[in-house]
Amino acid sequence: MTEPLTDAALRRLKRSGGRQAATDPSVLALLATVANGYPHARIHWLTESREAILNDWHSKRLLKAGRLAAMIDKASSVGALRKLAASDLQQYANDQRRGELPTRLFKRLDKLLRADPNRFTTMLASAERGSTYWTLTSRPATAIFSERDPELKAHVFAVSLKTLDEDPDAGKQSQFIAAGELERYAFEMLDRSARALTLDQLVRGLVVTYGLDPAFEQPPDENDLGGGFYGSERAGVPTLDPPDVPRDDRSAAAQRLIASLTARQLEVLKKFLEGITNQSEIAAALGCSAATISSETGTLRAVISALAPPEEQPEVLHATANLLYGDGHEL
Amino acid sequence: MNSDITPDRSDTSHPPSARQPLGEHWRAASNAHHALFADSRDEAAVSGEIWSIGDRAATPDQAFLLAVITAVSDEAATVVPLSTELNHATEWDLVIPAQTLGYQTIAQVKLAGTVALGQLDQRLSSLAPGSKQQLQELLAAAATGTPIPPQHLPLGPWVLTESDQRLRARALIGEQLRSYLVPEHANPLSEWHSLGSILTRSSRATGIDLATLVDASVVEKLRSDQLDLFSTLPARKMAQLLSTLRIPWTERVRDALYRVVSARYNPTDFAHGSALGRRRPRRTQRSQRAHVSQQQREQAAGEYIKAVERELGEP
Repeated sequence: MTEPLTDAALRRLKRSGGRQAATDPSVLALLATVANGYPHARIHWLTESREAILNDWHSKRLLKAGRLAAMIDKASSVGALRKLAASDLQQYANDQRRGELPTRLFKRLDKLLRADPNRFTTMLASAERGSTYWTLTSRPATAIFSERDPELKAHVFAVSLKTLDEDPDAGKQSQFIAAGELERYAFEMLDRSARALTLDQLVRGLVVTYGLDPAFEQPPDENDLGGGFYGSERAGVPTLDPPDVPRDDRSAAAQRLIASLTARQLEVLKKFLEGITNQSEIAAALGCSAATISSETGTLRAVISALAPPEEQPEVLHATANLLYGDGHEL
Repeated sequence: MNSDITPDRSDTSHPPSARQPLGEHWRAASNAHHALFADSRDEAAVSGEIWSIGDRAATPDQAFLLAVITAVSDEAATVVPLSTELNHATEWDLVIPAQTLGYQTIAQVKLAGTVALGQLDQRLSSLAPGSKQQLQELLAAAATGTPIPPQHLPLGPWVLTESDQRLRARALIGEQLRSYLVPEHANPLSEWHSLGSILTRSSRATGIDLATLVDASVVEKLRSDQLDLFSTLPARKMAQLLSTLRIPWTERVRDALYRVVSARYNPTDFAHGSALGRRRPRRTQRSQRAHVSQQQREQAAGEYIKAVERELGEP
């Protein structure tokens, strides 16, 4: 039987950076308890078995972008983790319910733009409905909007829409935004930006700003990461490397570190990198005495100190971890 | 003593299933370094570290606040809260790379504050040198009161109007954070007090360069609220500027305009006022800056506001 998660174990998981939490049996048991005990009425549109819901929640949401690790870090106790998990499960269920919203919003916006030629008119027609540029009839634009999501989001936030709350107890999904508010959205986006927008951009603005469809998320465009007028707008774009770290120097130091350690010293270093810092625990794991580990730790310090000044040592260890565990293509 | 451990230096990688997910190496390295050297240095929090922080009342099961330590004294630490709500990111929120904690966060400098050292619970990671430098730069900008932060930093999308939901969210979170910290900025929305900020943001929103609307030589002064609007920019021109940039005539805009006019009003001893449509005389050696009383400043600002309102057709 799986041992229940304790507050002490939770602190240990934090030391390992949440990495072990993804497969930790006691964490998985806690998540299963939350999923199995969650009131049916609040997630009634999820019709799979509770086991399937747990699996999907775990793989599609909790492991995505380190969400589980973030929950572990924020939890002050096992009880707090349970509360955070329950709240996250509800959010997952709500997101699942919103799956068809982008298509429905496309149709609704298309209809309202075409309905009143005195209010909205085309600036550049296209064979694709989504690619047609729209502008205001009373104040025609002379330029078209940029393709950048951050700029689009800035404008959608500026419109400050009143969206309809999702009521978990309601039988039907809400339409997300009332008709009048959707018309205000279209009008103000075209008015505030003083530029023409496509139907696709209008829909996408809602989707990316309100997270209506995770499938709409695109990988970061490296071209967006450069300078330029909108160079600072990088929200949601993962920046993978800490800037200004001369990686080659660190890698060379890391290689020297690994080469100069004995087998056991290397294993001790790995334990520290895995978040296991108690010398008795390390000793038990490696089958030697705590005194030996203390001695090996002292040697580790001396070797690392000889390789780099204190402020650069974390970067050398970072490069070492990349070599030991593989930095793949990401880092 | 175990002598069975033989290093296999030809294989420094793990099978894919055992690899650490993206972003965890920095945190692992930072924490390993801290643990290795902990007994030979002060164990207290230091600037650049990320800690979990309990609320001031130590409420059971209350979620921790995650924050970057930016300064430490004997009894307290100054912190910048971290948020996983990336959608709340504005141009005053620094994007912290996923590798720092294993997930992406934003550092909300406008919500910075002070906590007691006793509230610090656990060290989680530290900022990589590049992020630490970026945060210092953003904090320095916030401390000077500049309305627009340095543009080369990885920040969220700009706030373009005061009705932006992210400003409301920031104000709300600021209130909630009071149970954890004493806020450093009395008003977390202070950047909206500046006319220069409003004009710059609206210029960005509409894609219309300010230099195409006013004399290019005064743009920088206009952006930084340094321009004597009363003497330099006629009310008709100001009204046109607001209209072209789609800036609605709200109380905040009116107050911001009033503040700039009254603060920068600096007439010569000739009675003039290009702002009100009077011809400005050529300045001679005799013309000098006159001492301006507070009452005169307020009167000039009031006249200017009325003239702008007339031009805009406001009641």
